[in-house]
Amino acid sequence: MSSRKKAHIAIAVIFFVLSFIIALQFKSVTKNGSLQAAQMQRTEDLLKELNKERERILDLNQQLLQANNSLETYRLNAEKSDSGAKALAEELKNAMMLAGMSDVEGPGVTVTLNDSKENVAGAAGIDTSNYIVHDRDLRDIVNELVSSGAEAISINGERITGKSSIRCVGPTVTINGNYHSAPFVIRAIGDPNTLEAGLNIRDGVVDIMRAFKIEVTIAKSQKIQIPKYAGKATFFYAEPVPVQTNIKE
Amino acid sequence: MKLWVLMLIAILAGLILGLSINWYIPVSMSSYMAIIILAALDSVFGAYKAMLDKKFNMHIFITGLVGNALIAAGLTFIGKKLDVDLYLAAVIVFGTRLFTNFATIRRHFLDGWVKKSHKDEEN
Repeated sequence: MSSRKKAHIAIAVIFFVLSFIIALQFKSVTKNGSLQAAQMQRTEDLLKELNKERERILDLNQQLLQANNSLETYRLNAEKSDSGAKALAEELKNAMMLAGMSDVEGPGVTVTLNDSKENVAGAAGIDTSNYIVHDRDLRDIVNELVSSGAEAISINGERITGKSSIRCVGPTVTINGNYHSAPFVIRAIGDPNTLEAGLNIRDGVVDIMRAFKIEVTIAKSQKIQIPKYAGKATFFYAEPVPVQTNIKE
Repeated sequence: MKLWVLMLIAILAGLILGLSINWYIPVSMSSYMAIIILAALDSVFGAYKAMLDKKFNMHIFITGLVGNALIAAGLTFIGKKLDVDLYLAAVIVFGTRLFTNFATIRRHFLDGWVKKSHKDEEN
């Protein structure tokens, strides 16, 4: 091939690529609108970030699932083996239940709280905030349930454990660090009759709430399901004390 | 004459293919593409001018084409990072060169045409 011919082919290829790119660019700019390019870019970036985060969540959930599965296998293996390990596994089961780290079910009550429908806005001498469900109402109910012998409690699916907090944040209530708002569904496992009686004590929590027309319903059931605590279970400061040493008060 | 036909076919084929395939340049790449096109156009016009002057060299042409495109894209990238419209530098340089090259090419053809018409008059 002569060098002249080579040059011609090279030029032809370059012309081809150039016109190809020009056509592509023309088409793309017509489609996107050059003025909106900056905004589109921002949207594109945010979308990319969002997708990345979504993938991360999926990934972490997958990891959690795997860890739980392997934990379950260890536990089953331990139960199958000698009696010492069996006793340990039993103890672990109880500890997990106590800590609220396992799903539980059993008889109990479901308490539903909703804000008062009473129209008291603007009425003289009336504090309207008494007519909505507050964090303190939830705490009172949880307190009452525990003292009536409830073994497991959840509010809107949030397991109440030794590390739970219930507090007001603006118009919502955070439970275990997650935001919730009315209606609140409180589930408790225990003796249904005792739990109901505890809540309905005269001048007790429910009586006071009903005085402000807050809607409270209590339903007994033979089968209540309560999920496990979904939050973090890591300790940074507390360390267990060896059994031999006594803590002096 | 044969070169002309080849070039025309190449350009048409590129345009048709570019318009027909179902793929778009991502928005984030748009500004780079535009500046690369400008650099390439400048190289092509420069090459044409060099051909008319009979100084055309394939290697200079190709390295110029690729190098210019890369530098232009690089300037755009740095400009974006520094929040300075550095690509304007490339736009001005290549734009100016396009015009001067075009002027040379125009003069060349105009000269040829004027000479030819003079000859016709003499005959």
